[in-house]
Amino acid sequence: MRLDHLGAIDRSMPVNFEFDGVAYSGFAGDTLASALLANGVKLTGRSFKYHRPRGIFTIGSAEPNAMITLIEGAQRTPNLRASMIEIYEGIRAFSQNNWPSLRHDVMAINDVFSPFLGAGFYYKTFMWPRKFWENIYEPVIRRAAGLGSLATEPDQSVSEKAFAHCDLLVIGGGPAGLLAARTAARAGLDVILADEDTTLGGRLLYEQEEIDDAPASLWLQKLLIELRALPNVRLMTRTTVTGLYDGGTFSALERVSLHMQPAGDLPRECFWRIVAKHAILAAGALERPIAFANNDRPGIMLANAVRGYVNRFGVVPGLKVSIFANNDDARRTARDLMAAGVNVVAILDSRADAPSAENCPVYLKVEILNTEGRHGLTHLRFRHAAGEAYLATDCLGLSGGWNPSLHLACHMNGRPAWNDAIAAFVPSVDMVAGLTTAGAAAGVFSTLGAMRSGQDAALAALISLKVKAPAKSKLRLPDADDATYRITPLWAQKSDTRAWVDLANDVTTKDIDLAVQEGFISVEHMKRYTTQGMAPDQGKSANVLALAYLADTSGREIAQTGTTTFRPPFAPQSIGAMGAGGQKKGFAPERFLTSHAASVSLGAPMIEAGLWYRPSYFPQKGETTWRETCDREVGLVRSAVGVCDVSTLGKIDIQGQDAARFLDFIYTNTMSTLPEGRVRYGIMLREDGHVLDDGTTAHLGPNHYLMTTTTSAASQVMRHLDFVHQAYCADWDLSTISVTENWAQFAIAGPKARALIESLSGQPINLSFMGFVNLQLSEIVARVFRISFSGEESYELAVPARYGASLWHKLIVLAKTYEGGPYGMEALNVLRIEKGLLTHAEMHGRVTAFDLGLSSKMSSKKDFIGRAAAGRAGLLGPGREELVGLIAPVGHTISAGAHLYPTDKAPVRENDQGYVTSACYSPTLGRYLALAFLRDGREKQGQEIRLVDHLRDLDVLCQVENPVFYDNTGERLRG
Amino acid sequence: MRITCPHCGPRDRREFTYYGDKAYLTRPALEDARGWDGFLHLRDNIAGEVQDLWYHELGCAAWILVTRNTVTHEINHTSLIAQLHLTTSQKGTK
Amino acid sequence: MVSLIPTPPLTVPPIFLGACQLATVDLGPLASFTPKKGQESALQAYLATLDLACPPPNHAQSNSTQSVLWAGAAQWFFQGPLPEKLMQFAYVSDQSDGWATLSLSGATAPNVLARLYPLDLREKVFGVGQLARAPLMHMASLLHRTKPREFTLYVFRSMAQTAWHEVKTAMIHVAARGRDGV
Repeated sequence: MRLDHLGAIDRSMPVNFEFDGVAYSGFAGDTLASALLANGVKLTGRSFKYHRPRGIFTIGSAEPNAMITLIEGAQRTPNLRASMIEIYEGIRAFSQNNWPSLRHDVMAINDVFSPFLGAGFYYKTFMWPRKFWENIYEPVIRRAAGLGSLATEPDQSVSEKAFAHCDLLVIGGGPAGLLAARTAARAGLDVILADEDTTLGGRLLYEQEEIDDAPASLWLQKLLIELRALPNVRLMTRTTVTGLYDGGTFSALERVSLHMQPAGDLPRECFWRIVAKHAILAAGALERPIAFANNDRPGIMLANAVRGYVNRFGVVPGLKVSIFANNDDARRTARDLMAAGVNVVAILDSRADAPSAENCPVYLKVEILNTEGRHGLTHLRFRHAAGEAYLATDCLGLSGGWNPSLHLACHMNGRPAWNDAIAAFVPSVDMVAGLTTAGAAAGVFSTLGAMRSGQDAALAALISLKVKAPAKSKLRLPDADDATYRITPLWAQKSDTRAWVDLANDVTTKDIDLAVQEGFISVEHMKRYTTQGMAPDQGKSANVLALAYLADTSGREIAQTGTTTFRPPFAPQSIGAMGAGGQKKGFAPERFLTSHAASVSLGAPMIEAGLWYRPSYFPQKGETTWRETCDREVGLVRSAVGVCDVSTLGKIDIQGQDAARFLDFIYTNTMSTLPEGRVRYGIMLREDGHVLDDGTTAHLGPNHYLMTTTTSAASQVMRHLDFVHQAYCADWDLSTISVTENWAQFAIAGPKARALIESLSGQPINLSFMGFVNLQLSEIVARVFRISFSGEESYELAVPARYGASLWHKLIVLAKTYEGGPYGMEALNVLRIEKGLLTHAEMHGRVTAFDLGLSSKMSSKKDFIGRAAAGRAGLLGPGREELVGLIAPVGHTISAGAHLYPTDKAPVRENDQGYVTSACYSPTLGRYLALAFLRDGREKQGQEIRLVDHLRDLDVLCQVENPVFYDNTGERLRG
Repeated sequence: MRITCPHCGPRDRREFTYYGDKAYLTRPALEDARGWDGFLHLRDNIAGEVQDLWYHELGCAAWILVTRNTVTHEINHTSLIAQLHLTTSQKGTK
Repeated sequence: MVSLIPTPPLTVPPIFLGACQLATVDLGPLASFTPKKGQESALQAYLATLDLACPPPNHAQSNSTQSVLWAGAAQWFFQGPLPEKLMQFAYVSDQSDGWATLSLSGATAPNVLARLYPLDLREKVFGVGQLARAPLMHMASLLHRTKPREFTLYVFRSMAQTAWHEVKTAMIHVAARGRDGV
């Protein structure tokens, strides 16, 4: 029911929305919860296990019952709390966990079977017959389990991530947080003040309080004007600080535009990482219930929620409101409601010694015996000081006291301390370095007390940050409510009927009794055995109640029983926000070659090679398969000339008087004997003796070398070089820097390669194999390396990257004149397999130089990285899987990943002799070839081996050969 | 987790690559097989102060020795491994 | 004789969004250098004759046409026409083609950067003239604050397109928030 005179909603802006397909209307500023209550909708969901009818229980983010799915086109977001959804025009909300409807839920049968569904039932049932588990029990349980269901379409919404730094992070914008922020801001600190609510003010938004003898809202507005004007203050509303981490770092989730129709470029949420030198936790406190028979009916709410809906939204959750409490604070609900003209039928106080004079009936020493009303509360039966009574009431405001919201302080495993005076846990002193708690979060409940506490916390932070406090005149506190908090603890009332402790996971006092009975008396065991506290609300309204009940039942003090811990996030946070910007192309940077645009326009499909995009093949008109193109390109290189962009290989510039010495330390072979103008192939090991990478190094000039690495290991090698340099060679005369990006480099390979380069440069070139020379191309100094990855006479021509696109174009045009052309990754791979050359398919991290047949490259005259470990028994000698080539019979396909078996044994694991690392069809030899690792492979050359690929159904007898299939003597290479 | 790079100041942990224990700074003699086994494969699993090697890969590319506590998560000290061999007076501002 | 045409890392017109502008910028020759061992003081003395120096980490030193930027462990960038004599005292490696440089400026530039770099960009911590080696999203980068609301962003040439896209997306999101763009 809506009152027409109270609330901060905008009555001039009606909002139409739907709930379970029924149209309703509310106002701008309403949450779904307040709007539903205004429309008299009490039933909002079904409980997790028993499918009991449930209604709205709280106001704010600790809601355990009213879990909602929002649907917007194909977008579907489940498990949202109704009290946190701000309604906007056209929003469509649905209840969860019911079928076929909320009102008539078939699964409510679970409630009938509740004696069999108590705590831990799944440890004791569904075990027999065994074979029923996989096909019957598990699928049925899976279908019945869970709350909302996911969309089947990818999430279209866009969120963002951001970083923020400050001197002081104030978590919570109520009286404590506001005063903390004000004090620190006036002292000149950079302050971030974050609050989960739509505006700052905390309790001031929900209570009828006066500050300095005027409505609190006036004082609040004045303070906000001051804070907004300060350049050193950032106010973040709709921002939940979700996690506290090491080093003063915090996560926070800002709901940027969830309160509007998705439109335009505004992100839906922003995930913040905040770094603060100091933080003040002023997150307030949360009310807790009392357990009694059938205390979970729709219409039973926390007392502060009842008055909060009246004060903030002008909504009355019932026509005959009652209160049940053990403390004075709950009386506010009765008073606020009566002042608003709402019918308060009774105050039920569990205490014997409590105020009895109010403007409504008051009962003391109350024990609630039962409640009635399946789809909504209708009556209570209770015992009181003077007898028994049966009360007609449709809304019960419940209060067992208040729990300071210290969750964040526990995120790094801090444990709070029990305070008897307020019957609640409070943060222990110095729980978290650099974090102070203030206000209700510290157990200081009155408004004035909270303000003072917030200010004191800020002053303490200023001291620890060595910043001067503001002048005394800037520290004056206003007049505000300073009521004493009086409470007599009451956790549960005796009951033979179920009494709920944790509404979200349907855990009752009977479940805790069972846990104790079965020996699960540790609070950690009770939690996991009963699942209390494990729902999305992390047990915010249930944990203290549960452990207090556990303490009573197991004969211990609360302090003895202790608490479980809270973990981030404080409230559910969407993965889409945490991973914002990381979808699809955003997952990783894309790296493009200078020849990229040209390759694309030539129709080459681009493939991902790490972060790079490289052309796979260049289809010509009439070619219908990639193989056709690849075969042609291989032929092109072997008979004419091919050009290929090889800029992706790592290139490291190494200079210094100790450069040669450094290379000798890194490589297994000797580089220091390499003359200027020459290039040498080398391999480098990890310190454990396995191959890290291979490449060529060129001696460019005095004390100047250029190392190349494979594309995939480029950054690994750079990291390795930096480590070796800084760890072992820190005082050497040495400089290393990556120049991968600075040079565009192209392979020009084939019998016509030399002619092509001479055409390009207009001068003859006379470079022997493994030579290097600078080449003048107009005013540009290019570099030419005569090295080959194809086995043909081949040159790699490097120019500063700005000329890459232009050079590529020229090379393609020139190549055509020699009946050549571009070739891509497929052909590159075939060419190198034909020559037995290695990539990281072979150097996969578990092979040694010995395995690769490169023992001759392991110098015995010098130390090098990996030398000691490479010599270990077991890493060389008989029994090792050695690199071999395999030739398939004509017409047979073989594949990488296939395994090798003796021809006379079954192809099973016990007889496994090795595996294939690279395979291709070789147009040059007219059959499939492969590189493989075969046990003692080198001595098996000439023999047959059985190649089996169970996944692709291949079973082929292959010939074991020298891996250099083509031009074994290297004539074509060195010509 | 934040690590203070001696060059760059306090930075988010994601800028760094973790390598392993400080043991990697001391290569055993070539013939010391036992030493190499320890260097490569044996570590104490300490609840308390440890020293390990981190690379500021997305920052300045310095290798850093980090002294931290695996129980309290405090990071007590960071230093450049390239300067470990220098005396205090030799360590300049560069 | 061949004549090759240079292409910049990125050819896109500048973007103006909200209170922010993004443009490519060509800063001319760039080289990295490391002092030769034992030549550190001689190098400083030489640079002093050019009104320059090797600045400490996170700083830059400029004269009217050249700058020296600290660029990492034992590494500086020399920006501008490279003096031949530098090679006497240091090992030099051309980097002119290795980097793409973007200029981001405007009132909301720091807010845009907050979405890109995990850095403390408050002016009192990262002031005019200061720079940082830090990641732009997942890309190695160098960020230089040249004016209170003006920054130069360096990324690898091959990643220029990704960098442009990331900065532009951040600008769009900041602009969508309205006048303050927090």
